Amino acid sequence: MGKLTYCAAQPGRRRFIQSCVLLGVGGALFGATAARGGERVDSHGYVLINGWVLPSRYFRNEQA
Amino acid sequence: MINDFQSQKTLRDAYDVCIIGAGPAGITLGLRLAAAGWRVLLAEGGGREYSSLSQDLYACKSTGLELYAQVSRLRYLGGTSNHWAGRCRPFTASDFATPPIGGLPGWPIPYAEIAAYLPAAMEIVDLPPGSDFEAINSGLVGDEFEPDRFLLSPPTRFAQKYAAALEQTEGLDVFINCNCVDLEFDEASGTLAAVVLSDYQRNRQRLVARNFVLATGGIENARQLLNSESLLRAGIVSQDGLVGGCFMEHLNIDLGTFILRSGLAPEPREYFTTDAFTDEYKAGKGNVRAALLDEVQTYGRTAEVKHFLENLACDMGVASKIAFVAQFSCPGDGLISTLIEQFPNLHSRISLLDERDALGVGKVNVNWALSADDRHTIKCIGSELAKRWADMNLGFIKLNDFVYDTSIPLKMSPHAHHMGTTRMASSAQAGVVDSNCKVFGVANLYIAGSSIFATGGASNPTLPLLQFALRLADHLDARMSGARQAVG
Repeated sequence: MGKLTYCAAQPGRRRFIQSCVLLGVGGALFGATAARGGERVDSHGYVLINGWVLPSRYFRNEQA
Repeated sequence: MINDFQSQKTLRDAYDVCIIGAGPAGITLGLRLAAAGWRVLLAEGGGREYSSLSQDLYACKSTGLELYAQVSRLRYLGGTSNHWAGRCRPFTASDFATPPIGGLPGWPIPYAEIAAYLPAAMEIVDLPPGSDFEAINSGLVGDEFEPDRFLLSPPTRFAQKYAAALEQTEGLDVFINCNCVDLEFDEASGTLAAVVLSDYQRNRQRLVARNFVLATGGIENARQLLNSESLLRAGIVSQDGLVGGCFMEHLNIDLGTFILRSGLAPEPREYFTTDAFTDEYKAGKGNVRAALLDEVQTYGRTAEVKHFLENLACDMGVASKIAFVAQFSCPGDGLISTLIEQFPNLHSRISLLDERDALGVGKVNVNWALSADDRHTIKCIGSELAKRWADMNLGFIKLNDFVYDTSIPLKMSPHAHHMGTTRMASSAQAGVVDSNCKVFGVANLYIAGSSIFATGGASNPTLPLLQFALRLADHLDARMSGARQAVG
């Protein structure tokens, strides 16, 4: 359970839009390309955004 | 022979076994014991078909989660098998080896005690002999979820399949429209002396037998015990004790929705928690089904409309009444449903009311309540499944907020699996029946059906309850045979 960060318990519309933007920017910057089905994604935890459970690597700056 | 108690009160003076309730458990017991040579009365409160006259006797109040008890269980010959969906999954050894979270003990017997009855139970519900319980999909990465394995009964309708056997089996008297309205306990002998049977005009008849079995369902078995003033006077039953306590259901949680990665097969996927999962998270078991909708299930346009109606319904206090019809799901949506274990807890209970039904039997209130441990199970299953789903690149899962935020009221529906209200235990301090399904403190009163379940697991209860019914038939046969030899 420790890998999942509950950061949006009751998001409003504004927060949802912010999340969408963040997801889009994160995906574009850090290569959110789909791996092939059936293969395990190398993961470093998850975030919860508006209910979506997403690998946190989409949002992490690996160079930082 | 099947007789109608309304017009034929041709009961014998005494029976070896009197079984109250002709659903799957009662019919199985009746046929087995009669085939073994015993005189058996099988008393069914309903008729051959559905009637509101009988069904209305199921009416109960609810102060807890909405149960839909009056419509989900059926009160006529064949019982709830008349609309059973047929899904079968047996218990496993871990169901019996691992005590439930919450402090109450688990099963007092090992799984091996009922495993031997699995082939016979499978035959009863028309599952192919010797067939394995099959998975319809592959598993997930890690050791927390495996593909669910189950078989589907046709489904077996007990009243139809066993109609000829109920008519023709020698020694078996089946009476329909024959309602049990009282249990008469004799303190001097410590036995149930008789039951009182009634037709729908409240014409009553006392029935004597050597042994009695209640097989009337998870709510009614407890209700019969709580309704007996003689059992209450003797202290066998108390209104706030274990009889009626630990009411359990299987939880059908609307976990959320999912996006399936493009190109993957659209067929439903079903997963089941492993023992490693329950050990790791100290949580219960659960089945999860993820399926893409291929047609509009209910009318609706947008999530905004849905939210508006839901808020309106909540404000008006009618949310539970429209829960089944207010699902606004569209083709292509991925929906996730569950069958999740509820742990036994004494706050979830059936209690007797002062109000009486048309036959003079006390009505009951059902306070179906979940514990924090149950919310933990739901949260763990939802969260971990979503993570494994993403790990596998199957797509992404959007959990409903009440799954991960336990402060928000759950949206869920029952599976009509009523369990635990006369739970099995090794002593009267922890249960209502002993390991032979005999009521503690009464030498000749037994319980059949899922009300004896000490834990509910996440297996559909019909197959396990048939295993227990077959085991009880063997026990009663051996006990009565032993008594006969002792006399001889």
